[in-house]
Amino acid sequence: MSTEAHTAGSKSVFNTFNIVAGVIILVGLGITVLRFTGGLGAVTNLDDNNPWGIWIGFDLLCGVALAAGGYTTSAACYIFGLKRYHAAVRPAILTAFLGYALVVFALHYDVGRPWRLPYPIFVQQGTTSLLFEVGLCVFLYLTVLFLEFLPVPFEWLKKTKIRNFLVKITLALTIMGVVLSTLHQSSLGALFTIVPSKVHPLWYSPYLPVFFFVSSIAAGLSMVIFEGTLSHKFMHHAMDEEYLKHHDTVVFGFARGCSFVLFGYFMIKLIGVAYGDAWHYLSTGYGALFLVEMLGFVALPCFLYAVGARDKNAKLIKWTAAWTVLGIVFNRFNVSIIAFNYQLPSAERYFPSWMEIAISIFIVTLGVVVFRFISKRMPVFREHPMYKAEH
Amino acid sequence: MAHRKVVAGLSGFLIALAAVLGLGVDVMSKPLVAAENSTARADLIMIDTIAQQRELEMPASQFMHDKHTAALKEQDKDCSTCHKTTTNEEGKKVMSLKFMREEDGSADELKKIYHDGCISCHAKDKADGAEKYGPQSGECRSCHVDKPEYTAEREDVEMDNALHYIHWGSKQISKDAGEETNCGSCHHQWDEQTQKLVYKKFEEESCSYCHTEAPKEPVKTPERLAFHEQCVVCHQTLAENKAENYGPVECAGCHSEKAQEELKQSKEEMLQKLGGVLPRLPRQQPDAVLMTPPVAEDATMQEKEKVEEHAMPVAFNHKFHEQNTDSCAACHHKSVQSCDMCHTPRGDADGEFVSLAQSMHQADSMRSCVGCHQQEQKKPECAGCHAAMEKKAQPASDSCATCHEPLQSAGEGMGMMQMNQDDMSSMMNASESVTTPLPEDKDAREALAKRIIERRPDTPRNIDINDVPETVTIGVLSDEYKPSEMPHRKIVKKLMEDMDNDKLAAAFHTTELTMCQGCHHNSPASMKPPRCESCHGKPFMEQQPGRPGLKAAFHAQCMDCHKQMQLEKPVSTNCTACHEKKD
Amino acid sequence: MQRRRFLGLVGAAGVSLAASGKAKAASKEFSGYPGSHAVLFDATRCIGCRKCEAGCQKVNDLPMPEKPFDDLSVLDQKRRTHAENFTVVNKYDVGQQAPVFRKFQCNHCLEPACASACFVKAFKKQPTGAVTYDASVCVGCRYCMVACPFEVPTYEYNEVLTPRVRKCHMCHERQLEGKLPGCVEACPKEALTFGTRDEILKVARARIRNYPGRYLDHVYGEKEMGGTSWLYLSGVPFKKIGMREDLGTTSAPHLTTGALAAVPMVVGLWPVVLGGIWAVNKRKEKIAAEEQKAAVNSAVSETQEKAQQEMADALAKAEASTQRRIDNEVKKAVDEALKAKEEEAQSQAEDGKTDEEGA
Repeated sequence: MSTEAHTAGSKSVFNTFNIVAGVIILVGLGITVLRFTGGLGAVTNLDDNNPWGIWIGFDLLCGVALAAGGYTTSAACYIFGLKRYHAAVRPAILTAFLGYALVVFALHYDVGRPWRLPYPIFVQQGTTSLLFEVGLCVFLYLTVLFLEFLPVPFEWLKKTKIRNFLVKITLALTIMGVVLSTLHQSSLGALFTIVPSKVHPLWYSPYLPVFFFVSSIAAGLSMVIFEGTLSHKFMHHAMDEEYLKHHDTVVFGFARGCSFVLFGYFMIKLIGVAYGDAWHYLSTGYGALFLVEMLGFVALPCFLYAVGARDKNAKLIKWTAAWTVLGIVFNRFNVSIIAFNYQLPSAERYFPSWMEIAISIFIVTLGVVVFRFISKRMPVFREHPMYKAEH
Repeated sequence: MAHRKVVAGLSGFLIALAAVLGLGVDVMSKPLVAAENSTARADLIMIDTIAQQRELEMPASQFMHDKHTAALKEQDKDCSTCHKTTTNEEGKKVMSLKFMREEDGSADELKKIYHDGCISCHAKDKADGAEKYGPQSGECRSCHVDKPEYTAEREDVEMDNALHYIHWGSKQISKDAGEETNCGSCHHQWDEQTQKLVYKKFEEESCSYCHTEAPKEPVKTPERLAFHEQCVVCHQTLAENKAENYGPVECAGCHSEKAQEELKQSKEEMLQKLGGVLPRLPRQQPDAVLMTPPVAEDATMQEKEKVEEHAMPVAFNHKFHEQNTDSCAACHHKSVQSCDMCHTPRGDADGEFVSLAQSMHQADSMRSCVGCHQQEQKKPECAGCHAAMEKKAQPASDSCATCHEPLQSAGEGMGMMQMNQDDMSSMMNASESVTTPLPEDKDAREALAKRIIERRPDTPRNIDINDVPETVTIGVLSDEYKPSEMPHRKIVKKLMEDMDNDKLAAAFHTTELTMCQGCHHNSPASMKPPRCESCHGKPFMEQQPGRPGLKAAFHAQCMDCHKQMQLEKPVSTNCTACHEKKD
Repeated sequence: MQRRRFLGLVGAAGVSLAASGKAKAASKEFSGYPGSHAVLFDATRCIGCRKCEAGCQKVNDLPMPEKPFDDLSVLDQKRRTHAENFTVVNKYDVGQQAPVFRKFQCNHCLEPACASACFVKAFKKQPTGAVTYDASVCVGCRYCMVACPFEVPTYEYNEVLTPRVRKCHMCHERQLEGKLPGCVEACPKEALTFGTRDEILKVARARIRNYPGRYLDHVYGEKEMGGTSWLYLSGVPFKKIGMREDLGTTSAPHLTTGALAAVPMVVGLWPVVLGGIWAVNKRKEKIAAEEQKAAVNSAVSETQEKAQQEMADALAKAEASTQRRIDNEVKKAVDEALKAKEEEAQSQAEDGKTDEEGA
């Protein structure tokens, strides 16, 4: 793939990336047809005991968490006045927008009647439901992200007036973004507060919304670093001096921030275990899993981030970011799939079918393709010559 | 520089993680080990005597007694290899059940006794070139194991009437001086004056009355040791004297499941030989007891008179109950003395504040009359009707008179049987007509009790089977199925047969029609009971919450009775067994 | 330093969220609609005949199963409800002489988890006691199935265009017509007792009281998950007949009140907090900018002044030296002139030099 970076934009469309992506998309489309002609039962391993699989556990929960880079970065830059992170805002916003768009897209596969997805907002509002809160916030936030991202295509299309208006309301949009993100990031965790009897006591807590929110900050920060690293490697040509100059500042700053957030997260998770008095479960198999998550994917990256930020070790930080992203995925899987329905005998537990996994990969691939398309053409990693040094 | 720290931190973390995971796996794997039950042994003894004195330095050593007994036998050695001879409380020379000592010394002494005693013997075996020998000096962990391979599992042994008779009817056990009985071989009591254990005839007590788990002075031997000293030592002596029959001397001989199964079988065989009835214990216990209502010690004369005048005595058939309980302890749960020894009229600390009246009537205690009789109703032949009966907060008033039989005249007896059972007040009147007071003399009271018992019927009085309709056709509900033909007479006949010679049923089924009321309930007994649909109609009537509808009433009546009586057929779910399907 | 403050604020926000989550609204208890119905299942009465299953299938027009209902061999396997059957009876071997049977269907909670979880209000607790489902708004998210502690709702996974959530609806329509639920009507033994919930509870308690030893002293569903309209009596621990005893007595909606109550707080507080932070930062920047400007200005003016001064000095100095030189030159010239006068006779060129000096 690295060769692709150098030959990008060259004549042949049959490079490795395109071929792999093409195959995945073809398979995905095939399963899509199957899904919408045969029903959920034809492609998933879902059953009456296990109504939610990886399309919720990964596509929704992880998708939203990993798209948290949008609000964390824009908040850091615009609200907390950390102007030197400005270069990271646009890629983060784009990632977030794409992330959320894909989450909504993926939901079309999972829900039974996807054309009714607007129902909870426009037809009958189930205001007692946390899923309603999630839906409403995601809907609104997607709009906000869209508005936040609009300046990019408008710069590209040279619509200066409307671009300037949108830039003016950046602050308001950012605040709305943070509010909405706080709500739905936490609500995704709160979805599971209704079933203390189904989520293993080590993961269940009335504080689940707080856990999800705080971990989403870590997820967002890590995702910005991780995705910046990938882009750095493969999209180097699309980046300008300004972006490259600030890249390392962003990495070190975010690493330090993430280390603090992870530390806080570790502490509140401990409080969660104490609150539920679930200590004795630590000596069970689930306890081992929990400790792997807590020590391996929270305490360890917290420590490595701190070391990396102190020693200005960009390489360590980048690996840690990838590890943390993996940890967030691990956590969301634990809550929604592995520790969920722990009370059932193993024969009745859920494991995804290959088609479910393929659709999830398909959707991630779609995201990468669209991201590449946009960031290659539009001023994402570089500033538009017309609006240089404006901020 | 920084790298080294990272690597150090990382490796430390990984070690911790591995430890945690290891622990998790270890914990997870434990239940599997515990589930393995084939390693249970009746003869496993944990040698942890030192634990009473101080904390153990090593895990307690596990010792397989029967294995050692067998090994010694092979080498022509006997118990004295490990057990010393000691003088017991009666002054006899007996084997000490402790290992190579008579008394427990200090912890260090104990340690020395066990280490020297065990290892020296094992070492000698090895030196003699034995094929198998025990752990040698230095092989500490062979005995002191953390997670023993075997677990001790011992069945309790109960000295019930049958096992008791095996002993007191045995010719192997020597007779008491000048007596025909051998009770003194086991039973004894402490004589304060002579400071000795003596045997007093007819005053035999249950062992655990004195030998409790933590006995009080002057009793020294706790329950478990007392039994082992008494039983095992005696069996062993008999065995050494080449007796024809002697009891088990190995742990598994009494405490294993297998041994108990064998014992059960031999008891049954014995009972068959004896014609189904065990001989009564020769302890001069009464055949019958006239139990009179309690009078508090501090009651005034007037109160006493009043109690005696109004309350009716109960004639208790002691002989019958002896034969129909497992052992004396079924009722005499502590001492073999009379109930009012502990249960005073008002209840005090000795009787755990259970008054005499309560001790007879407490339904939740199997030692009380009422409790035990209620348990009897759970027998399949009774439960068919009785399980379906609601338990009222108060027993029916007429049920008192079944035991508290009013005396029409002190000696003679028209029983209560002909009396109108419905009205308690009429009985009170009857009792007031008693003119002669109850006898004070023990023999006279027993004689009176006997007379009262004698007039009780042995078998329930039943209606003429020919008065029972042969079949009853239940067709009011038939829609999917044809009407059901219920073999009414067959059912009644079967119930009657089950009750034949049942004294309890005879006593409590006071009229010919009482049994009918098992099904024809909630209405006065009659040869022509009301039809079921008089009360049972549509289900879930608001006016009668909880009353089943007609269909459910029929089904519950038949199916629940069959279930309780453990009748395999017809199966409740086999509709066509009772109702033929319509075409 | 700014970064640290950012994190501190995040932490503070977390704490406030948590606090609001804990402060559960002192909600009033809902003990069901007055006069609402309930069904009592008595495990000691059930004989496992599957008539209730057949009755359910019939009144709900559900497809008949492969094996007929009088084939009781299906009881040997643990079964659950599916989209095509709303109730099943399971057999449990509890180590007694006879097995114990237990019917499984929707328990119709007084405060249903499914209704609370549904984001289109497709579920409704009816005054009859039934929890009904409206397929016309259902999106098919299946959160109801996740939320149900009894694992009741099922889904038509193989339906392509109109998949529905399926579950027992306590024959709501039939109840409105004054009829019994299909299963209750079909039960030949009244193992299912129908009535108002208050009355049914009394019946259940009376059975426990009147038959000591037959029942456990517990009416399952009286308090479980805030109470249900389907109640259970059993002679063996409910755990042994496949019912969870660890569900607690908190109703499902109460479990999420904390999280929901935090929403308005976040909406109200976050913009103020964030706006405040932004304003503080903005003002700081502004002050910093102004200070910088002032500093630059003063620095500039100082430099200018200094430069002017220097220039003036330099000029003055230059003037002075010029003057001196002029003087000198003049003196020299005068001397020379005097000399020239003295040497008048020598030459004319010396005049030119004098001129140059003057320029």
